[in-house]
This record gives sequence, C-alpha cells and structure tokens, in this order.
Amino acid sequence: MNNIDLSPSTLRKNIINMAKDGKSGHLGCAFSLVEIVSALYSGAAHINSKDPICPNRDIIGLSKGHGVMAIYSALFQLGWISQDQIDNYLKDGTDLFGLAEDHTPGVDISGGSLGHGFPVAVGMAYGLQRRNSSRHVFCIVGDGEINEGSVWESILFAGHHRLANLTMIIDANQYQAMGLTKDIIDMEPLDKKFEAFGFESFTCDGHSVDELNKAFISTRSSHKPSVIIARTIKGAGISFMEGENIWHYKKMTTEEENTARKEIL
Amino acid sequence: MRTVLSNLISESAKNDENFLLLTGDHGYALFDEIRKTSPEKFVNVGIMEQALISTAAGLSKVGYKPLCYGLASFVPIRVLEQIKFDLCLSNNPVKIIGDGAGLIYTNLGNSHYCGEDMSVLSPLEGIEIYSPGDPEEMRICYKEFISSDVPAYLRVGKCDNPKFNEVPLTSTKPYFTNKTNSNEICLVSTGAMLGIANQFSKEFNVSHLSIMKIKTIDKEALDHLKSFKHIIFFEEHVRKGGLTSAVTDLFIDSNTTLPKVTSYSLKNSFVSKAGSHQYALSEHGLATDQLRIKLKCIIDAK
Repeated sequence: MNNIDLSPSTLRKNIINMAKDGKSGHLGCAFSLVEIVSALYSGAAHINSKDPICPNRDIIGLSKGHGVMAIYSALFQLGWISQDQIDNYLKDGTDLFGLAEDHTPGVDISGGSLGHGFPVAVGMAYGLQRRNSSRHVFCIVGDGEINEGSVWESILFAGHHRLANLTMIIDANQYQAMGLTKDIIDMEPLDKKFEAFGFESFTCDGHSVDELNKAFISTRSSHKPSVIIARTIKGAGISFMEGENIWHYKKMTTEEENTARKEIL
Repeated sequence: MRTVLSNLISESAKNDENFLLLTGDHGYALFDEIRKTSPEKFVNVGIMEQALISTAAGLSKVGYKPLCYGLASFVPIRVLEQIKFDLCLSNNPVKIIGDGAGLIYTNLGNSHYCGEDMSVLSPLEGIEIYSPGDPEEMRICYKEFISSDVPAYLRVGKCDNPKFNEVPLTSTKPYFTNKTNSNEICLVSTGAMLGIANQFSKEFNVSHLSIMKIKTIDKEALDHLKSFKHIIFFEEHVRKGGLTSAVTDLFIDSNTTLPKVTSYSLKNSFVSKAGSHQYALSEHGLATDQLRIKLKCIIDAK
C-alpha cells in the first residue's frame, strides 16, 4: 500500500470533489471519519489493493452510511472506483448512492439505515470465527447510531460469543442529526458500557492516525470483541464546518467550496 | 406437518455443511431432532429478532446458508426492514420460517395474531413466499425453499391438519385437488385452508385449486382459472397481499378479464375474544359452518 496515497488530506480533497457544485450534504459526517478510513485502508485492515472482492481480505463496514464519501474517497485512491464516478457523484443515472450500499465493489456492508450495518458485521464475524478464519471484521458506527436497539442486540451477541475477530469503531463526533448526542440520548460512559457487555475498549484521538493505528494493533491481540472509541470532530479539517451540525445536511456554495479547498493541506 | 418440517430441517443440517438453523429462542420441540443430531448447526441467538435476521445476513455473506425461525408475529413482522435492507437489497439467500401464522395463537391474544405476514413481504423485490397446507405440500415447498438462491419465506399456519396428499407432489405449481366438468365455480385455497376447501369442493361438486407458492406465483394458475366464471378464495390471511391479491394480480398483469371473485379471508381487525381456533375463525366469518352457509347461498343462486 506504500505507493497509494491514502493520506487524510487527499481523502478530504476527494470528498470536496464529490460534494462540489452543491451535490451532496453529509459533509460533516464524512470529514469526521477521514483519519479512521485512512488508517484502515493504509494497513490496519488487511486488504488486497488490487482486488476489492478478494475472498481472503479483512472486511470493512460502514454502518453509519452517511459518511460514505470518506469510503468512496479511499476506494478511488485504490482504483476501485473511477474518476468519472467521483466527478459525477450523485448525478442522474450514476452508480454511487449517497449512503453506503454493498453493490459497489469494496463497500462490504450496506449502511445508512442506521443500526443495520453493525449487526450484519457481527454475523460475518461470527461466521468467520466458526471457520477459524484469520479475517478480521471492522465496522464503523456513529455515536448517534448506537441509540439503535438493534446495535445493542448485536453487541450482546458479539460479547456472548467472544468475537475476537470483530472491531467496532465509534466515530464519536458528539453529534447526531438533530443535535448533541449528550442532549438527545447521552450514551456516555461508552468505555464502561462496552466493557460491561464483554468488549475490550480503546479510546483515542480519532484524528490521529498514529493513535488509531496503535489501537488497531491492540484490537488484533484481544481475546474479546473490541471497540475503538475514536474521539472526533464533526466536519474535521474544514474550519467553518467543525462542530457546526448544519453540515450534517448543508451543501456547499461555490464560495464555501473554494474556502474548503484552500484549508486542505 | 411440524414433524415433517422438523425432519426436513434436520436433514438439511446433516447434508449441508454450510447450513445453520438460527432461532430467536422459539420452536422448542420443533428442534429436538436437530439439537440431538446436529447440535453444532443449531444457534439460539437469544430473544432478539432484529439481530436474528441481520446475523443471518452476515453469515450468508461469508458463505453460510442460514435458516431463521420465529413466530410470524415477530418474524417477519417485527423485522420487516431487516428483511428488506439486509436480505433483499443484497440478495442474501437467507431462509425465514414464520410459524404460527394466521389465527392459531390467538388464544394468547393479539400479540401472537398474524394475518398480514405475506402482505408485508409481497412487495419486496426478490423474496419468494411459500404457504403449504399439509405435510406433502410442506415437503415439496421446503425442498424448493431451502435450495433456491434467493431470500425466501415459509409460512407455517395451523399444523395439525391431517395429511391430505397421499401421492407425492412433484412441484410447487398450483394443482387441482378436485376437478369437475363444470366451469361455473372454482375454489382456490392456500395454506391451512387446503383441507376445508377440498371438502367443500366435494360437498358442492365444484373444482378446487391449491396454490402453495404465493410469490412468485406460477402463471399456470392463470391458465387453470381463466375459464371459470366465479373464483372463490380461501385464506387464513388478510385479502390484500395474500392469495387473493397474488391471483388477481396475475389476471391484471396479463390483461385477462377477471371472473367474478369472492374472497373468504381475514378481516383487517384484531381478535376481540379468546377461544379456540374455530372460534377465532368465526370472528372473521371463516368458521367451517359459516363458510358452508355462504357457499350454499352462492351455489343455490346459480
């Protein structure tokens, strides 16, 4: 993966290119998980960069499908989706949807209807564990998404079956669609909740690729399912989007697009 | 019929290394055999229907052939979105059994009443729906249900009906249990109404067609029925989205003129009183005596 540029700045540029001309909202959701995606596709997850459907690679699921532009951005860098797909994102008759769907090679699990992707990831991890497979299952969820009861059903199942091949990554950007998670349904303390459900928890700066990589290495040696609580900022990397929840929905004007481009190093 | 189903599931477990039976803590006696002969293929996920379906979707994605079992009130009703999004969208060929469909559990109250399971599944792309009425229909339906490469639902209603078909069926296609020379009336049934509809066909000397696969319904149903002047449906399910809809849609989709249609099906109403299965049917006008009187009126008027 050494010769493939999966740096956070490149991923952010791709996201801007996809969302340009006012085509897409969900920018805040995508920017908060850029470093998580960068770390996963740069080596934390064992993938074959030449083959998106390689049957032996690790699985990467995006349960919070709203951040899918970050995934598409990485898939573009890997060559799994085309420049044309980036340039024409969400235009009439194009393949890529605004939420993750698994008909796209490299998108392993459909997400976006919240509370679906993680339970499917748990099923995959359970099946792989039964076969003593070395494949690992990573699944990114939102800290708002974990309001969903279906997520907790599957957390119970994963904990009971000690799915050591499963890592949940919580993009803990503190916001959900309508406001602060702590004001709507306060899920803290996340680490203690997950530990009580049989998970090993790791907390890190979700915008530090180094910290994320250390956490990913630790999850590999865990004998339990793992959760990485990645403390992130919604809209990270673009000053006028950071912590401004309107960027869950808002689409960029040309002026905002130009400003954003200048801010990405 | 439950014994047949239990044995069929156990056979799948023995013969297919990728088969897994998943239940949400339901079906105790039904799984005695598989728990004895293939315990490693039996997974009780716990009382969590959403996880039941989604876990099965994940298992399917890594090569397993999961069969999910639940009571129809919960699987598919509670988990419709999981079926739509986790199974149908990705064409994960997970199999689902909804047991206790119809009025069979209504002595427990409305929580276990399920007259709309086929209705909610019918519009979903890709899923197939089976509704067998006796042990032989169960056998032939299960064979196709379990081996297809699409998501599929097996509706299990009242199960203690006697074996009706003595000769093995060769397919799930619609078939006449009684065929007269008259083209005036044809009774058409699915599922648990098989026996009573056949009995009426003999009492009143009219034809009877059994349809066990509701989706995708075989077009031979149209060929069988289009020459009749009056079709009378029997189903322990609401009219919309079940047998009546499936057959009348066939006529509409093929631009064929519909004969006169009468549908004896469940009302869109909850059960109001406790009682036996026949009592519950009577609240919907479907008890045997009620149906006999209604049929007699129709036939006497001809």
